[in-house]
Amino acid sequence: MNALTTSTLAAKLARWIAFTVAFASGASGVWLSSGVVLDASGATRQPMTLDILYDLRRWQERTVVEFLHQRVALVGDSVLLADVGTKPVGMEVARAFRLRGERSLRPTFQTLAWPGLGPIAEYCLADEIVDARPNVVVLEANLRGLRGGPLGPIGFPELAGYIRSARLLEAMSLPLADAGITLDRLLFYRAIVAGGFERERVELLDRQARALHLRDKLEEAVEAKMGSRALFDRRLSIAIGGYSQSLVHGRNRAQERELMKALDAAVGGLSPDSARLRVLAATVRSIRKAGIPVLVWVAPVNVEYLQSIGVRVDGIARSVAAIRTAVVGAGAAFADLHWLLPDAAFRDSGDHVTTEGPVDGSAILGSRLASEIAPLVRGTERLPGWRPIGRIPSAVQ
Amino acid sequence: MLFNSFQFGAFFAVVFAAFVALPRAHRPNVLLVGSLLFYALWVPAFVLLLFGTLSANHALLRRMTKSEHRRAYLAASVALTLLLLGSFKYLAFAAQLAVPVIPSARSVLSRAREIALPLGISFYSFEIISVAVDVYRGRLECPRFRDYALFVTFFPHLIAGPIMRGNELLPQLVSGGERTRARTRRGVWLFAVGLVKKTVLSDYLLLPFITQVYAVPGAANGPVHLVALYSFAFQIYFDFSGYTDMARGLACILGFELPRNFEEPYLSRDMTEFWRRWHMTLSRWLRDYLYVPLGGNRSGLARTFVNLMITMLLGGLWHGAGLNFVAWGAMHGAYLGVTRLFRRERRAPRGALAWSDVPAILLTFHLTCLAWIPFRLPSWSDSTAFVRGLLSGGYLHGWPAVPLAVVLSCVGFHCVERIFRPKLPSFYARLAESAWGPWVEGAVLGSVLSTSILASGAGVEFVYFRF
Repeated sequence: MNALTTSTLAAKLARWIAFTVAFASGASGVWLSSGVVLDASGATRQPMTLDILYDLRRWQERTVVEFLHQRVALVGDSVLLADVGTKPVGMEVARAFRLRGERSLRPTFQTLAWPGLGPIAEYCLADEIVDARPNVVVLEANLRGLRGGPLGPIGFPELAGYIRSARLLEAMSLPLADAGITLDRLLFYRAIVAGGFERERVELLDRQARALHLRDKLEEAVEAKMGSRALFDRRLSIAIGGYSQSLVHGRNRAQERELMKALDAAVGGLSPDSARLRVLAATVRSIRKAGIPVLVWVAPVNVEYLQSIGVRVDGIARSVAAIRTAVVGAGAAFADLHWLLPDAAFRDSGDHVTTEGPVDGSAILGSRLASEIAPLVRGTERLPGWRPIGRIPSAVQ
Repeated sequence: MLFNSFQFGAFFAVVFAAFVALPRAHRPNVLLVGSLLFYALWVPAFVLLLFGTLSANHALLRRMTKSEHRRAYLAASVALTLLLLGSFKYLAFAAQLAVPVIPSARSVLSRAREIALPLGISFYSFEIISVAVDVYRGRLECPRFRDYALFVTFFPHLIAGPIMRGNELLPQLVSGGERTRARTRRGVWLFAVGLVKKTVLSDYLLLPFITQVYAVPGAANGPVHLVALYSFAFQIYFDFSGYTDMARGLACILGFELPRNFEEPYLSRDMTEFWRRWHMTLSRWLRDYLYVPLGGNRSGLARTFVNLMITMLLGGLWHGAGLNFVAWGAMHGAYLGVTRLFRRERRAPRGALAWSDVPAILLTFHLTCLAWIPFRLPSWSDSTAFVRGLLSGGYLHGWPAVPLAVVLSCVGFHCVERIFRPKLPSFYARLAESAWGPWVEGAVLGSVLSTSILASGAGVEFVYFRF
């Protein structure tokens, strides 16, 4: 009986060992061969959320080393960006300050901007922003980024890992789940960052993103081998179709339906306790808690064009009032610039401003922003200088 | 938490460890705590709503069993549940419909849009109603609150079904489940198959092409639209059936049986058979709690048609708060009505498929695909643009090769599912008994895990999580 029991146990153990070895071999075999295939195919990837980390670290390093002048952090989305060779809004703000002639008032401006960087991402990065020790933080509030619901293709959910432990309880009380940052994700991403596994996570996401792109490369290779133009024609027709369905014919302006996809919440009238505004207010409070003055400014919207196509804009005024209530209540200064620019100062349907030409939107915006920022800069002293900022995950270098 | 996420893996490991470590009598408690934790890890506040709903409904159930006014308590329970479902899910839709007539409804619309939808509310609402009706009809005894709460919140099926009957799951939950080696093996394989369906077939192979074409309906040529239509039909099938397989697999691992929700629906010979094979638990719920109480097919053809249309319209509305979902429901109601009108026998075709069934299968599949157009595209203009795209020509030489190959592979997979399903028990038995069994199992499951992780770049929620 004992021998039977022993041999049965031994047989079971042998099966378990066989299973475990086979499982590990299967898993690692697929993983390793995927790396070989991806490298051999040359599959690259689109930008992904965590690519912002590299820019973030560089921004922090540039900001924190500046101890001769006040440091003003400009945080926002693509409104703050410009094409290569043109003047972004940050540069125009600095120029406006120089033209003011106040010798004591020569702050430096460090722009942290990424397409789609909205209230959720700003909340996630609030601790990182404070770490760079700016004298003043200037947060852009884009009406397009204040509608609720899941983050779109340019979302930044993985940045939730940068919400530090001291703010986790507050984060759990905010409607981050409305943007897809559920509690399990919040805790998971935080555990990754706190545990120092950023590099591994970036490598995993990089490989997944490249694997997704491998699909496209495979299709291109098959079409090339067949001598077919079907893929090219499809991409071209979809691109042209997309433009024609979203843009007004002959003008670089969005059709009403397309506009309302982004602006419907603002046009309808936001309330101060709407999801994104609560998060924006929480961001302000976090930065204010570190003793740093905050200015929240509402980015220009092409009101002239909206009115010309019959969209009622009184709701926008209510939305701006709601933003004011939310952020001033959290301790920020507020500047409403949504009405500032005429139609000619916008260069595209996304309300990005012109940087040259008869109406230089960037210059107008920069000048106005400078006058809003100046009182805050006057009221601050230079903070003591430099300390090292965290490492950059190597996979994003 | 998505079932195909690392954090769910960690959660399940903890719950499973507690489940097997404790005596059987305590296992329902472990599952209840685990299920509430699972729900809280989405949005903590909604656990309070769920718990409150369960408490109120259970109190009404208890009163129902002791009172002469049973119907009133049933009505109260159903009304409460539908009121909550309506408030969270349909208020914005109702306000949107009212705005052209009542402009002041715009402020209601703005506020309603900010109301977050509790996860799984459509599913658990239907289960709450089914228990109330079954208790009223005497088919089910009023369960204890713990068992009732566990029945509704049991985490493998909480978010997206299968929609269970009380007498199916309650006895299992109360007993603490029956874990056997065979059931665990079946559960692991079910989960693995579901994982492949969801991550590889649905998200990786099908979804990118669908997203591209449906983003700008009408832009590309006819073949691209046709292949996108087929692709969406398979994508929604693999997404949802993959989820169900994972849910059933998890339940099996814990020692419970959840019913099948799909039986190769695209191999159906008519629409009646389709609805016996697609989202089976929803279709039987609609049949037993809506269609039959309305009168079913007992009052002549005209009345049957009306009952079918009401059932399918409401079924469509259940899927989403939008006129496009109502349109989808209306199309299926019409299909079912016409099927009943023209079919000579009352019963749907049954039995093994034959080659002579191919035309009927193709017709049924294409009718289903046509109905998927409004389901996928929220606006009437997008749907008509898509149909125009289908009719725009280019069928001689404009076919997208790789997406078409993917669709044909999906057809093959679907047929293999049908062929292989009856053979699964003997397959599992061979794995358990043969010397090569652990090697094959280990290698395949390990490969599935890595492949699923690699294919998860899209990071997409289950389609049916919207409901």
